[in-house]
Amino acid sequence: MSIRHVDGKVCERMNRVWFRYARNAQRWLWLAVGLGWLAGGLVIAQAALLARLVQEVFLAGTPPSRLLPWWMALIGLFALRGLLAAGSQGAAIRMAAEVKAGLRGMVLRKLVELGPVYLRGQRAGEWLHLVTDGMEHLDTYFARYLPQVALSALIPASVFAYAAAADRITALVLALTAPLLVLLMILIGKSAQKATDRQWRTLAWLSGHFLDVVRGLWTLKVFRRSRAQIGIIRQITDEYRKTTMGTLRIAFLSALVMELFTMISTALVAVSLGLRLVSGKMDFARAFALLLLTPEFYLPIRTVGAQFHAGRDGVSVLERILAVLEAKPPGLAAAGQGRRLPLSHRGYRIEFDHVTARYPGANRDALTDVCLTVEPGETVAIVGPSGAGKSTLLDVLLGYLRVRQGEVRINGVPLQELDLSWWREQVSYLPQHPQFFHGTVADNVRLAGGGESQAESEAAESEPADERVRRACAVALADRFIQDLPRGYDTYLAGEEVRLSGGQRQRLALARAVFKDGPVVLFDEPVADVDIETERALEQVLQGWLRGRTALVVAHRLGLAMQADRIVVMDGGRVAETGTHAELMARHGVYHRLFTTYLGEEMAAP
Amino acid sequence: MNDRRERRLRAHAWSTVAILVRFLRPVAGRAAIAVGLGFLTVAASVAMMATSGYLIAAAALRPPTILLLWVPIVGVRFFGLARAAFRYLERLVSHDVTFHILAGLRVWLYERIEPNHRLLADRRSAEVLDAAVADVDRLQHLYLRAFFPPLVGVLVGLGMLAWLGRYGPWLAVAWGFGALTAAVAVPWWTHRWTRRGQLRLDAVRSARMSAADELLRGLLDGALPARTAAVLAELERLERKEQREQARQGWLQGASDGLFVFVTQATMAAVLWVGMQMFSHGRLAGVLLPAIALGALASFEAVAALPAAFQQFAQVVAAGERLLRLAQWDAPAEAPGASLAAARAVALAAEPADKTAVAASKTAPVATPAAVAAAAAQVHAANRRGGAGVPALRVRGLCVRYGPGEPYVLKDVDVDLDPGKRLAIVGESGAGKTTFLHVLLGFLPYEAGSITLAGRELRAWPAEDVRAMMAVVPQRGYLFHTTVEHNLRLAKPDASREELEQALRIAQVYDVIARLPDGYATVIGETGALLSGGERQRLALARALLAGAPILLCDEPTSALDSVTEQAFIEAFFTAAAGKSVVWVTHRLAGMERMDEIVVLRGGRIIERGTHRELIARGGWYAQMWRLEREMAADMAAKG
Repeated sequence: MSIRHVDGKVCERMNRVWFRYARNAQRWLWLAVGLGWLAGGLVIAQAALLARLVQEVFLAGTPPSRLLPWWMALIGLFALRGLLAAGSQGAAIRMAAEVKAGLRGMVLRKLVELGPVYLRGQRAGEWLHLVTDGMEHLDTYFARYLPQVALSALIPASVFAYAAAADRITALVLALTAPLLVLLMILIGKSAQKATDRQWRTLAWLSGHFLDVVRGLWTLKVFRRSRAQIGIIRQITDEYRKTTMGTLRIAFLSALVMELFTMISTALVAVSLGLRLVSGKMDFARAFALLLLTPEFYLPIRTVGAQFHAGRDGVSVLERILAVLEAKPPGLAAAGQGRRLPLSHRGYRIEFDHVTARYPGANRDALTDVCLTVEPGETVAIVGPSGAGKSTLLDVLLGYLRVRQGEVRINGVPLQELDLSWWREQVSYLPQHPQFFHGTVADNVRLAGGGESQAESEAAESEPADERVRRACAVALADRFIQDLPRGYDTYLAGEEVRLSGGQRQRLALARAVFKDGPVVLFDEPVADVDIETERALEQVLQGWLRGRTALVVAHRLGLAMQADRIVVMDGGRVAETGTHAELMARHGVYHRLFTTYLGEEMAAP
Repeated sequence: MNDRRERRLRAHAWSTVAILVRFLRPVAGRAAIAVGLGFLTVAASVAMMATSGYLIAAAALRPPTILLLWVPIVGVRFFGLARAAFRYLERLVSHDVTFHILAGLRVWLYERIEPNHRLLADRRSAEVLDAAVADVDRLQHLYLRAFFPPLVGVLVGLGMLAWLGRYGPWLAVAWGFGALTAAVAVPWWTHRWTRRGQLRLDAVRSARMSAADELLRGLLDGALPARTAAVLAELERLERKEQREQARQGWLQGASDGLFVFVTQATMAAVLWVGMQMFSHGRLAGVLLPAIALGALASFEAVAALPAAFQQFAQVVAAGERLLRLAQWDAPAEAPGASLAAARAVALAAEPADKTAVAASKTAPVATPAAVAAAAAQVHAANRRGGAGVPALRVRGLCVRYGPGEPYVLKDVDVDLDPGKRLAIVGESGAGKTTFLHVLLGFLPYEAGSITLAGRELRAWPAEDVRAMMAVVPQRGYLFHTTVEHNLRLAKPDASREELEQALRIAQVYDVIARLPDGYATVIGETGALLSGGERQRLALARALLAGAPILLCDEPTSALDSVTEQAFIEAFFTAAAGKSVVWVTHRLAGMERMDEIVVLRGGRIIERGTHRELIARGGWYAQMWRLEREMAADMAAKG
């Protein structure tokens, strides 16, 4: 327990995690500690027996062969101690496995609850690392450090008890030095911790700098600065080495003091034992046993300190995990309860009623006082400069982002009263950065589920699934390039087999949304990243497909927007204008400006 | 069969180790000191324990005067202090060595990647480079822990054998046998026991990795709520499986640790047993009995560090192998200012253009590097004088492909870029537009044809000089995690404040920077995270303009800008580019009537060329595209 102070806060929160999420792992901890303690107890028996044997041979002159049974007993003790140590270690790893499994489950479920808005705050690779390899760092903390904390108190206590019975002066030395050692560790620990932290930061900073340089190498080359970096890398590492070594020289002093202290304590015990042997106040066997045990007294206390540092990775991972577990979901909970609306062929009436919303961590609202109604069967286009809050509307409507003020209603029912997982199933959603999975092209289209629109369910039943996939791809103009892939619809994606261009990914994701065919359609930039030919063709196909559907389409390119039933122009998180293309053009406002620059050159050209 | 493969793998691992050891060479002296101090630390501890044992044994014999015990008493204290001091020094020296090795590793890796254009131009390069940097990090923590303990162990072993051997060979044999069992046999057994389970565990973990990947990406995507539940269930199944496997591995690991404890104690007992036999035959002084027992026990400190070191050794070798593979990524090395290669390439220009580089370089006469330098100086001087000094660029019959047998990415491309000319290269994605820019910058070699810059073959130019004449505005400019000013000055370290400001204004980003909390001194975050996509792009553009190169290469520079900003940007850009040559690569036709010539690329070939008017009149692909855009505009106009 001696090292608690070092990262007191983290330890405290860690224990909370421990008791909350890993209760059934506790019995393994107790087993690990119990067996470890027994093994420690055997050390005492072993030392006493060994000392007795040496005394018999050395002072009493007994021939060693007469003591063979005792030797056998000694070997038996060694074997037993090995077994106990094995059990203790195995139980500790078992416990760590339980804790990790429990925590990982918690984190994954929590991440699902937190949703895309929270996840976007960090690169996907970092999340993946956290829930896979990152968690393995917890091993050191749980399997090694935690049992050692208990043993660092239990084993020295046992050794002390033996010493107290065998020799009071040795016991006194131990009793005086142990608290001093702990005190020293506490006093020194803080400064050592600071220095170690500083060194870790230095190394992390150096590594970050190197990563930055390597990632930007192409750019450095273009500006002819790449060769110069070789010198800079060397120089920066060297400078950091010098300053860090300066702090380490002081930081390690504390370890030196500690080491000196235990060494001198051991020497003190040895010398005092020797002196009392000379005066005949002590017999050899007892003295030898005590000498054997003295290092065992200090060892667990020092080990716990060393292992705490080794478990630092685990601590930082645990902090990240705690941050996730304690995070407040930015969206609404999809708990599977709440209301479901009656199925509707034409979709639902969607109302934004004075909605204000803000992303977590942001210092201004992404949406301010937005009012907007989409009638069933109406296609509404959302346009506006980047950062105007277009995609935020979709995040709010899907329940991924909670509103701060106002309300979103579906057919008059507030969104938070709906069964969100049901609601999300009703939506054909095309995200801005669609993702694909390990599986064939056809699998990826089918993944979205659905495909049995209420309007078309009879037709769908009579049609084989593959045919429906193909038809969805045809609508999204993806059919042609998919046919050209090495194995067509059976081409395996997300492997190394094939790489799709940005435009192809876009169309495939569109096909997925079309396949799902939900009563509500949310498209975020459906024609981004495609060339003009495809854009034009897509616009025509989508125009037909969207007719009569309840749809919100975020459009960067205005071609699609002007075919919508209504256009909503967003600017700075507010609805700037709304109306049909003709109405908005007549107003000469934001839309007029967007539109004229968009057309600009085309109209001016001969 | 399997055996042979395994042997080959092992030989491979050893050659990797040999290369990794090379990084120790520049710090060989310090490394040796660190190892020596490691040995002395253990030796002092052995000496202290042995002396204590001797002390109490001698005391038990009740010497007539206590003075006889002064030497061991002082010895115990001295060795105790010495151990602490050695340990302190050892830690200092080995940390110092780590930093040195780290610098060596980074520079080594950087020097391998830097000339590797194939790697840098590759789309996947980001992943590869990130992995490489992660491997360097891994090495930084493991290097010493993997390499030093075995060396310290050998030294301690030799020392113990020498010490115990002095009293009797069997003492040394007993200790040596025990130490070898603990240091070699126990880890080897552990490896054998746990190998199969480890493979199973790895398989489960990699399955879980893809499932977790799928879950996370599904969450980010947000469009597949039904899929999430299924993947979560799969993850839970894998988790249980992993837990079972890990627990099994845990018991085996525990057994191995227990065995180690047993061997350590048994070795001490064995040494003591031999000592007692010798004592009873009068060949060993009795006072030494506790000394050898305690010394043997203390010496296992060096052995105990070995099993962990072996495990780390395997990780170091794996990381090292990955780095070596990356360093050997087949790279057609460029000659960054390397005079010999440059000179060879000059000679190429004299050869018929259709001959390959290799054939030509063997037979061609060698021009002097001085001539190259002189030409470069001329161009530089011309640049300073103004627009008149813009070098002409001529491309004839250019053919490029990524390897023999692979399809041509560019075929028979002829293009002229006279000083001050504005050339547009138009085509769909995958038409070879970006490849063309990479070839001009010397990032990709060309197989046949010729490119002349200021009348001299491109290969003949030192790559650095070529890049001094060309500035690039890429699709996604990379910004460094440093201040705005440093990011800009990359292009021109000695630029004045006015120059910086002018570049920012032209790129329409001055107001953005002025609004930042610390202005020019604002650190813009990793890859410029503090700025929006459009702002990043415009800052990258300002940087390119600042370089002041006479030729501007633009790779869809406006693709990240919204239409209002795009329009303003194009306006400002062409004002600033007056007098400079421009190559503008795009798949959209906005602004084409500003161009002196438009080249339409399709499948790596030029299918049409001419001015905007000419191409419209021709009625080909370009005209068709144009009509599409016009139609759309007309539709809109009709509606409006």
